[in-house]
Amino acid sequence: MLSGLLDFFQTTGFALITWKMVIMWAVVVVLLWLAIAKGFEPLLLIPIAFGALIANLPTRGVITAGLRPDGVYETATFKIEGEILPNVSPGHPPAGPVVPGAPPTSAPVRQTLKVDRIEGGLFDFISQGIKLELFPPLIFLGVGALTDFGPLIALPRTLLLGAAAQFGLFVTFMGAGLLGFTSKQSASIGIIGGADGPTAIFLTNKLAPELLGAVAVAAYSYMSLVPLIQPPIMRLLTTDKERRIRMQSLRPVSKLEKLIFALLTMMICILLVPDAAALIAMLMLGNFLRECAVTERLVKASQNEIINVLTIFLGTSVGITMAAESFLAPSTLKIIVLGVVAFGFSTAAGVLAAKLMNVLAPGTPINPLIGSAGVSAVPMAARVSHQEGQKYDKNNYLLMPAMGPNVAGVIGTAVAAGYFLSTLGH
Amino acid sequence: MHSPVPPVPATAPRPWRRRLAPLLLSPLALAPSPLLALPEHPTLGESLVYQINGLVVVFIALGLIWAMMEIMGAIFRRVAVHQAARAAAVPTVAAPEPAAPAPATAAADGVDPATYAAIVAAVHCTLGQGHRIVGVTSVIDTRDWSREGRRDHFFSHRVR
Repeated sequence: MLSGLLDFFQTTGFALITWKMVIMWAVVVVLLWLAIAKGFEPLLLIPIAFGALIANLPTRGVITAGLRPDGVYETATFKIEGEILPNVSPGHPPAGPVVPGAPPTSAPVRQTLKVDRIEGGLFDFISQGIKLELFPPLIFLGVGALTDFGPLIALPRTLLLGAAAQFGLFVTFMGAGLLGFTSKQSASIGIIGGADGPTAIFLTNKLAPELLGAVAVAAYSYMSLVPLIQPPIMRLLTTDKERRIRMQSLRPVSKLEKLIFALLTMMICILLVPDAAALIAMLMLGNFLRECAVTERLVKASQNEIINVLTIFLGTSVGITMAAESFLAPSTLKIIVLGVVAFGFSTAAGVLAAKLMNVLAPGTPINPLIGSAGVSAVPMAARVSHQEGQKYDKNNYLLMPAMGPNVAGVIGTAVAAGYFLSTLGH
Repeated sequence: MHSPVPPVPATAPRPWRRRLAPLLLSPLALAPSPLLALPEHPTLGESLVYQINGLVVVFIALGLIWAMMEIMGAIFRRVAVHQAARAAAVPTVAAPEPAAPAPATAAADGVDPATYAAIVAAVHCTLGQGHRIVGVTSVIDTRDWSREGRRDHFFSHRVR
């Protein structure tokens, strides 16, 4: 009887628990605590934490994972069983064994695969939304439908603040290289400084999928920690007088201007960095739907159902990549440290760029506190600028001016990602 | 039997194009130029050049959008000033709606002239001059609200 029970025990999941899994459970508890008790990005951290828990339990029929021959721990692979049929169409001769000495044919050989069975777990298929680069652009559709580019159009020079805030990405790229990461991995780590989760996932999945879990967790964690990371840097780089600068009220922006902005911005960005086309196109499609005011139902779907469903799938799919075998590595710790460096440099560059603009154009001063909003954590970074401003002048309303660099940061990060992809992704 | 494909004579680019192409076209090209290509573990110098290139690309993209928005903003502001000037030139006493039905007709439908004036003013404020009021009727004790709900539902589906 005892041997029978022992045999049964071998079939349960308890026998497969490892110490690494237990450590990851502790990581999951920390993420859940941050999300639930502290309210840090709960919409993303909870699905990520839940996915991480699933990845670190001995599940069956949920996810297929394993070490590749090159040492990379790969998740979400599924099996296709089938039979290669001889192609008998006149244009394509049947494929046969290669005859030694036969002249090579230049015609492409086409063969038909008859699929008998596709085998995989639930997240093997859901995670294809990340692997096939579907989720991030579709989330950008919702982001575009939620974003009002009006403040940016009314004060277009704040676009430069969004561009300057990308400085942290490139500094971190160099820092990651010094710590031994490859160019592709360094780019994936640097993009954390853009504070744009979907873009970070989009880029990392293409350049360094083995780092996806660590990069995504770092990106979303630091996005949620924007109110803690940014204010000390903002205070350090600005004077009391600068923090009290009041900005001119923004001019009203017409519907036609917003529509033209969406179209032209998309065209410029895609022409300059075609690799960012998927992100920029979907962002501007969502925004065009919003601003044209005749597709109310589509806008509501983009703003609510589409983005909400995809956030659940994206978060859990990212969490699923956090298996102990890949996450508990020295590189994860380095990524966490480099992520905060990227954030810090991006924030500082935005603030300093605003100060530089004040030197160059003193007639129309910009409150340097809005420069930190150039990192694209929308709208949290803009809210931080506003709150910091109100600490020094209760009647200074910086929220709308800060939204300009904030949404410019979204575009800037997408362009930077496109640059990384076009130079490293081919 | 395959006929041999004659080799395409390669046309060497002119020297000035060869020199300028990496500088001017590399950010725009679909395939990266050797200037932007980076080894797996670049040196500090290579990494620095790469970063500067990246920042330049970001600044070019957002700078172009900035320039475009400034031009567009200037045009729209000018149009707004022009329209405001034209509006100021119009006499303050507004002309009555030319195509509006006569008050007598409205009164005959059971709507008093004051209500009629309020409706005309509201329609004018909402739609501007491009409209024509074809009738004003009371909706009390009718099924018009349910019809309106159905019409709104159909309109959302673009049936009409």
